[in-house]
Amino acid sequence: MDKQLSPDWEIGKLYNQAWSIIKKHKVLWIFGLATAGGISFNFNLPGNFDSDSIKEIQQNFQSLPEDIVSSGFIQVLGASTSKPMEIFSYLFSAVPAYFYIILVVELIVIVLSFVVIGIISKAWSTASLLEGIQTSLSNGAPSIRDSSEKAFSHIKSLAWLQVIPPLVLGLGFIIVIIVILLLIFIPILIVKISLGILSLMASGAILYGVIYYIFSEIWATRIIVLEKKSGKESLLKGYKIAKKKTWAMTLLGLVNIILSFFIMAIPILLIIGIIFAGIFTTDKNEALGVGLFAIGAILFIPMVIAMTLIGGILNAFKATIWSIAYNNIRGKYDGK
Amino acid sequence: MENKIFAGIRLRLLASYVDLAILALPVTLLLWYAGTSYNITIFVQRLFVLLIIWILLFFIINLLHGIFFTHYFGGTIGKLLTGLKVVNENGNYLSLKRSFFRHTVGYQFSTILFGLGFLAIIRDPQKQGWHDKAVGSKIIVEKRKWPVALSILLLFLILNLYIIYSAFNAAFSGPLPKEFESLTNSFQTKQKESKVNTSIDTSTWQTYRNDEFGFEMRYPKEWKVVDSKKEGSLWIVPSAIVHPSREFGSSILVRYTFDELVAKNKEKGLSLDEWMNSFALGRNVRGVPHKVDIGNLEAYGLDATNQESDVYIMDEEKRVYLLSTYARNNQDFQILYQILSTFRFTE
Repeated sequence: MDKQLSPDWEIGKLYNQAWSIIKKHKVLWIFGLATAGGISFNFNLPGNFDSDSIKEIQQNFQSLPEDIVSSGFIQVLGASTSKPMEIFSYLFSAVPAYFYIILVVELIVIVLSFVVIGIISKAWSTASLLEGIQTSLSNGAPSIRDSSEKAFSHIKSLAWLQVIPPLVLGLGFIIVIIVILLLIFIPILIVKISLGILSLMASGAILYGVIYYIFSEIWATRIIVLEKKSGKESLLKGYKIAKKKTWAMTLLGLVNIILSFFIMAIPILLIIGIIFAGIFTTDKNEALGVGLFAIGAILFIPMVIAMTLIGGILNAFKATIWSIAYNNIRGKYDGK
Repeated sequence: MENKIFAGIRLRLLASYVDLAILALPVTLLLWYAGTSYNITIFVQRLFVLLIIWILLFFIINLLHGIFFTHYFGGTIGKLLTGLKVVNENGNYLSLKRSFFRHTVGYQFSTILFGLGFLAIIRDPQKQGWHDKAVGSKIIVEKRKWPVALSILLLFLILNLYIIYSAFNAAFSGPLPKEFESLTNSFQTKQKESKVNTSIDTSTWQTYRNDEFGFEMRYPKEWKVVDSKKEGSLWIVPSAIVHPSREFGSSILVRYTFDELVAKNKEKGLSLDEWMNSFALGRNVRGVPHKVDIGNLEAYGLDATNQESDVYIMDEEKRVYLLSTYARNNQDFQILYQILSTFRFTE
C-alpha cells in the first residue's frame, strides 16, 4: 500500500495494544515509576504533634518574656534591639568563615553527585522501560533483571541525549538574552537594527530547536535502545523522523496530554476542590464545611499514593504507545 | 550458588543497623564535645563541626564505604560482621561499576513507591530486592555470625546512647543553661522599667566628668567617686566604702582604658558589633552579649548573675569602655541602674 495514503498508526489501535501490554506486565509500572522521577515519599513526622502539644509549646514561648524577669541590669535596661534573629545572627557570626566554606563545598559535592546519579538513573530507567516494552511486544515476559541488564549498555548514549542537546539549547538561550540586553543598552541605531534581526533569528532558531528536540528525543531514545546507535546518531535519525511525522506526532502527543490531564489532574483538582469548598462553606454551614474539609483531608494521602502509582502506569503506557508507533515506522524515515 | 543460603530481610537489616551504629559513633562523640562547651558561641561552633562531620559521614563516607567495601571485600563492615557477602550471579564480588550502581541508582530504584523494592526481599525466593535484581547481586550467608553482629550492634548502641546521655548531662549541668537563659532574654522587646524605681530624685546628684576621655556620669551625693587614673578606671561606690577594690559592696567600676583590647581595636578599627563578636569568641564570657540602650548610646550588655552585669560602650575613636556593676541589695540596684543610665560622652 502507498505510504502516502495509509497512516503509519491509528491512535485507537495504539491505545488498545499499549493497554493490553501494560495490563499484563506489571514490571513495566515499576520502570514507569522510575522514569517518572523515582520520588520517594516519607510521611514520618517527628514526634507526636497534636494540637494540645502545639498549644503547650506556644504557651511556653509566650510565657518566656514574663518568666525571665530576673533583676539583671541588662534585662532592666532592656534588650531594646535584641530580637531572636539578632541573637542567632550574633551566634552564627561567631562561627569561623572556613566552617561555612567547608559546608558549602560539601553541599556542592553532594548536589553534583545527586545530579550525576539522577542522570544515570533516568538513562537507565528509560532504557530498562524501553527494553521491557520491546520484550513484551515480542511476546516475551519482561523482568527487572533482564531489562536492567540490557539497559546498562545504553546508559552512556541516553545520558548524552539527556544532557548535551538541552545544554546546547540552554547556551543558545543565554546568548539570545545577552544579544537582547545589548540591543537595549547600545544606542547606535544601525547596531540596534542588526542586533534586533539577529536576536529574532536566534530566538526562532532556539524555539525550533526546543520543539524539534522534544519530538526527536522520543524517537532517538528508541533508536539508541533498539538500534544500539550512539546518542548523536540517534538524535539525527530521530530528527529526520520527527520532521516527517510532525503533525501525526503533535496529534498523538496532544491526545496523550489530554489523557494525562483527565487521569492525573482531575482527581487532584477534585480533592483540592473539596478541601477548599469545606473551608469556604464553614461560615455558612459549619457542619457541612468541616465535613467536606475532613473528607478532603482524609482522601489526600491515599490520593498521593494512588497518584504516584498511576503516574508510573501512565508513564509506562505512553512509552509503550510511542514504542509501538516506532515499531510501525522502524527504518521507514530515518534513512539518508 | 545452588547450595548457598540467601540472606533474608532480618539479617540484612541487622547488617545495616551495625553500619549505622558504627557510623554514628563519631557523631555522638562530637555531640558530647559540643555538650561540654563552656560558652554558647563555642557550643554553636561545635554544633557546626558536628553538622559538617555528619554530612561527611552519612552522605559521602557512607556511600564510598558501601561502594568500595562491596567491591573489594564483598560487603559493608556491617555485612561482613554479620557474615554476609554481596556476590554476582557467578559468585564473585561485584565490579566497581555494579557496586556503584547498586548503592546509588539501585537503592533509589528500591525506594520508589515507599520502599517497596526493599520489601520485595521478603517475598523473593532468592531474597533479592529490586536493586539486587537490577545489578544481578545476591546476598549470601557465608558464615553464621549474626550473634557476633548483634553483640556488636548492642555494644555500639549502648556506647552511643551513653555518650548521648553524657553529652546532654554535660550540657545541662554546665554553664550552657545559664547562657541559654540569657539567650531567651532576647525575646524581651519591651524594657522592664517596672522593675526600676524611676521616682528616684536625681536633681541633687553630682556629676563626674573625665575631660581626658570625654565622658561624664552622675551619682548620688551619698556616693563617691574613687578615680584611679593610673589604672585607667574609676569606682562609684557608697561613701562608706574606703577601698572599693578590696571591700565587698555595691559598686560601678568604669574601665576607660581597657588596655589590651582597646589598643588592639585601635589598629583594627572594629565596630562595636564586630568588637563584641571577636571579644566573646573563645572567651569564657558569662551570659550572652546583647544590645542595650544606655541613654541614647548603643551598648552591649552581659548579665553574669542577677547582681552582676557588664556593659560595653564604644566611643567615636573606637575606644571601648567597660562598666561593671555589682548590687548588694535592691535599693542599691535601683541607684546603680540610674547611675548607669546617666553615662554620656561629652563634646
